[in-house]
Amino acid sequence: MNSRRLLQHAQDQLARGQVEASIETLAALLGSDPDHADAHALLALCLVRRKRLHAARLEAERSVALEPEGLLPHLAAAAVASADRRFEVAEGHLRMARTVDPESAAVEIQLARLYMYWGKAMDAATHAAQAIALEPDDPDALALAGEIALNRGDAAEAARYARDALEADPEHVDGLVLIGQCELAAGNAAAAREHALWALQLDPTDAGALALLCAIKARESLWLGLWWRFQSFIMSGSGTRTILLLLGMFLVYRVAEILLEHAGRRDIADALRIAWLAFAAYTWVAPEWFRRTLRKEMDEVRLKPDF
Amino acid sequence: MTAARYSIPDEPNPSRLERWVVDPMWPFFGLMLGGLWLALPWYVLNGLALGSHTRGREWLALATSLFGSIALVLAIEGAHGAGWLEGVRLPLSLLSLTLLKLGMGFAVYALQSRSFQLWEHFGGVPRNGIYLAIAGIFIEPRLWALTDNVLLKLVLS
Repeated sequence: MNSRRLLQHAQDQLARGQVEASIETLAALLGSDPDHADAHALLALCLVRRKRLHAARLEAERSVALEPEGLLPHLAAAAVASADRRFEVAEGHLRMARTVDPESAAVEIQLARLYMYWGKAMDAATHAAQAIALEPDDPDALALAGEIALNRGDAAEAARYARDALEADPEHVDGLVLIGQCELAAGNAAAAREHALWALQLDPTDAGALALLCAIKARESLWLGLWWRFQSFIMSGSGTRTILLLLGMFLVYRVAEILLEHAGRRDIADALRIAWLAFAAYTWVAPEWFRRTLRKEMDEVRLKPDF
Repeated sequence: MTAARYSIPDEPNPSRLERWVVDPMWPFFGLMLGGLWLALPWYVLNGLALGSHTRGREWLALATSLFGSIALVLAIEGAHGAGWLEGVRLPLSLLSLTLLKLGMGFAVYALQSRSFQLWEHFGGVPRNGIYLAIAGIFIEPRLWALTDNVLLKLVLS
């Protein structure tokens, strides 16, 4: 298969959520054509999806070096910079991509997504609207516009955009997640759960779908909800922050234990030690408990006639 | 003729030691159950076996753990000798050693985990490190019985 067909095949795989398959296709392409800029760029986008940011960065740099005026290399470089939270760098690459192709909805979508992460809601809405103006039936643009609307509290508009996205593509994962979020905001946990599970059936690794399902579970189960809230708090942000938080918790526990022992309150120190061990055991079993619950839920998904 | 598959930059490049690869959580347990004397060489070996692409940062963290512990022990010894760490202050100051070792150990675990997950993804089958981790509990007292050097024990425990 020649490079062009392999690249198209990889793009189709990525669009279907088959990230690993797309990576393998690109690895095969680059094995025979190592200076294919768009292949390096697409590989970078796949690696960002898999959170392999170090490799994604190298691939994006290589693609831009091979084709400094290319659209896809700059889109990939912007995606990597955005994942690294280097928003100005990402913006620079997207501005360059825009000069290469001013009519590209993909560029407007990525600009909208960048400004959304950056906290610039007005700019995000502007670029999402421009993306829809360029491609009115693009489900990515519609789902993103809906997410921006939901973030500013307009659930009705968000639901409208979600339905439009699903009309264009009934299996659009972001659209399913968005409508699930709207259902949850309206108090329809059951409907939200259906949409979350359907999205996970299509892409088991989708972070938005997982977050939605966990938000639903958190409302249903006190203990699982507690673990989820704790896990979200600890794991959000950088790895350094996670390590510092966990060490901070350990420090508080040990200082309390030492002070209690020194004050002669061995009974309270012993109780604290047991509580800490119970907490450690809880954090050990809770993830596997959650994974089993999730697998069980996904096995139970049935397509209802009115879905 | 089929072209060679392109090697993605972060894919592990396992060495001949590959058969000794364990899940990085086991050296971390080794740190908690045994001490730095067990975790440090184990992490180094595991990184070499995996062909971890973050080996440089891992070794930097391990070196920080070792030399940082030495510096802390000497500082605490000096402060204690000067009478600044009486009563509860001594055990509280010794906490700094634990935090340094745990923090660096967790950092190495996080770094090596990425390479380990990729290695497993490409068909690697790790060894079970539980036995060595638990053995650390029993080996440690015998190790310290060989020396009276309190500072050495504080650094490597």
